[in-house]
Amino acid sequence: MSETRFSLDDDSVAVVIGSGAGGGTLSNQLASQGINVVCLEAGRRLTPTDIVNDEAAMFPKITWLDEVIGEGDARPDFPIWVCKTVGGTTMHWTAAAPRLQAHELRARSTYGAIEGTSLADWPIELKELEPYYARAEALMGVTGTNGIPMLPGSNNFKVLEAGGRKIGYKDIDTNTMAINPVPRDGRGGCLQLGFCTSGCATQAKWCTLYTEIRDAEKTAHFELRPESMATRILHEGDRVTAVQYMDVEGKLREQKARFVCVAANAPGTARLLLNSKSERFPEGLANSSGQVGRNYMRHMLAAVVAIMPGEVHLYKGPQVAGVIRDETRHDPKRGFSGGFQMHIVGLSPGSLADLMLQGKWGREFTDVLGQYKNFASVMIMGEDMPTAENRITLHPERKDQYGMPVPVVRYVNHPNNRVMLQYGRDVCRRLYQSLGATQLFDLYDVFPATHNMGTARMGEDPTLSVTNPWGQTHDIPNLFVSDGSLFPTVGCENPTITIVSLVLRQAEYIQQQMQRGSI
Amino acid sequence: MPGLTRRQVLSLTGRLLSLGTISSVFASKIVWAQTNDAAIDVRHLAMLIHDLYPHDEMGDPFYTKLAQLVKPRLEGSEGAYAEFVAQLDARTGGVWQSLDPSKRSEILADLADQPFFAKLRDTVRQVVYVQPEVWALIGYGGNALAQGGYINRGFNDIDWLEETR
Ligand SMILES: Cc1cc2nc3c(=O)[nH]c(=O)nc-3n(C[C@H](O)[C@H](O)[C@H](O)COP(=O)(O)OP(=O)(O)OC[C@H]3O[C@@H](n4cnc5c(N)ncnc54)[C@H](O)[C@@H]3O)c2cc1C
Ligand code: SF4
Repeated sequence: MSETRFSLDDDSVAVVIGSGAGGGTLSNQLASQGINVVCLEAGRRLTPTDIVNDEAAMFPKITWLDEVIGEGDARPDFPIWVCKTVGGTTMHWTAAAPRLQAHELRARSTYGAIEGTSLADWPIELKELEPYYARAEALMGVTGTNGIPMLPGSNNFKVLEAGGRKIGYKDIDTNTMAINPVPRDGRGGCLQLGFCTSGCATQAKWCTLYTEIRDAEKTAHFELRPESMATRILHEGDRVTAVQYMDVEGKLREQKARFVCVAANAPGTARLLLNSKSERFPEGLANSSGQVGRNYMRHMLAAVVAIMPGEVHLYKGPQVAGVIRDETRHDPKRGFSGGFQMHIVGLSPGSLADLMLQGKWGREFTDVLGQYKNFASVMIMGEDMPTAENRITLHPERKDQYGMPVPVVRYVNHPNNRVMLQYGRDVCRRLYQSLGATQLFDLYDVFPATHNMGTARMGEDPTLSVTNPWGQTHDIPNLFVSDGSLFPTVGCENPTITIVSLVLRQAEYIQQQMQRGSI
Repeated sequence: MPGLTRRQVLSLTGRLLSLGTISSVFASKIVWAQTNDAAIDVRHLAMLIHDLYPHDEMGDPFYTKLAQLVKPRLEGSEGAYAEFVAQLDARTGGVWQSLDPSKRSEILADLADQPFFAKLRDTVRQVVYVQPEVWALIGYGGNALAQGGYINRGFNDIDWLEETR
């Protein structure tokens, strides 16, 4: 922890809201360039010894449990799965770090108009992102890049690989993962614990708590304020001036700011902008386009669990280190647009008991769970379509403990998802059957959204997007969005390395703008 | 994944269970709120738990332990529980407890679409599959860090794949 402190009325500081993938990375980038940063983080700061191999103990320590309401196909009680802790959801994440593909950044041009969607092309091409992806891979220590070896394959991976090859797939490996196979960056190597979603005790997994925040704190330009919940961003004319937040003691404070970057994870970012409405911006801050909160995307997410003829012990090893990429292409012949990844997923008996056999009991239940050692499991993660009606809004009456309106997440599957799901499920079944699987189970519509994107999309046209291609809001030049809210579309890759790449690019842009005196 | 641990937290924070069971929780509050005085008999509960999640290798002491863990989670639902037990007895002339397990399950299945059954089934499941005894039985390793990780403990020791080629 660092000693650096800034005063509330210091209006030369940058205020970053959120300390996860976006906020943690941006804070470090700015601070290491000598820009003073105050980072407001709603959650607590954990110490390394708080991280234990116990799902039940870790869940309440790190998960966002304040009320969020789901509607449509979103789980009503738990629509989104995000963290409330220093490090944000990089505490929970499983660290798969694949790049988006060129055609996915041109979804509207590639897929054409699809009914019911608000598909758009990204305002930047893959070429422009590539150098930042390369930097992000070095920063996060991604396997298979920068001389970092691939992770060794676990049993669950070997089953996926063998079955995949049998049914004709070729692009299969242990995935580009932000997990140290061997010690690096002052952090340990992976011990194949399999508790990635409970926080990584060896710190082999990239998490901003002990990477970006750690490094920012080595500069004299960074102050982290945990347990500080931003409730409103204040503005005068078309400039933001301060952020109002509730501190550890429950007192409302105002931190003045030269500029503000919001990285509260897509639903949180939309919520904060909507709640910062004013006379000038009656529909929410920086929302003259009406797009804040809209085009909310997650991914098409399902899993298949197979009972194999021999032991697998799918819980051993990093939970998602293994992927088949053959279906990530766009190929309308399959009957849907966009593609999907197939990656392994290791799940505990507790989770599977809840997710896999809903409504079952008695022998019917125990005969299946009793074969847990023989389970193999794969996840299907596909491109999701943006629609105007999938969106984050504020509940008209319900307030949380900070006095902030409770967010409502409305999400309905686009028909494209259903066709893709059927196709993906069938190939996964064939894959395991080719190795003699005796029973197969589908898990869909059971997962809360782990990837949340699109709620403040970037673009060239201020009437159709919230920010410009650098995440600077069209309406307010000293207000930035610094997380997955920016994604116009999501491809079928896990989002975090793209968030980090966009933020690295944004940090350069901010410096240029400061040098020019425009912010 | 969220399932179990999430729900534990939900019930801790008083928001209770998920999806299909939400309505049943409300229903149980309304119907049984007044008859809240009966205590839950641990031996009886242990039997119910066994029938819901029968693992033959686990003995009575284990199911008694589970019943002790489940009981506090049924706080506030004692009335509903008593009513449920009364129905089991009504269907068996008061001898449900002394029937053999397969017969007991049949009777239980008759009541499976009752709201309280769903609550019981879910509450119990959230306890059963986080017990080290069950983990050992079904082959889950649990706390890996305490064992130095699986890096030298079989994360890649699969030996039957060759035969499938
Ligand atoms: C189980 C799981 C597995 C995942 N696996 C992968 C994976 O393998 N690969 C991948 O790419 N992605 C994965 N993800 C997603 C990944 O975690 C997110 O994409 C990433 O963390 C998003 O970064 P972010 O900065 O937008 O938000 P976060 O990392 O969530 O950080 C946002 C922070 O903002 C704080 N905050 C919110 N509102 C406020 C407020 N008003 N004031 C102050 N602070 C606030 C929150 O407490 C939080 O700490 C996974 C997610 C989950 C849940
Ligand atoms: S499997 Fe590796 S990355 Fe995952 S928690 Fe364990 S040590 Fe960390």
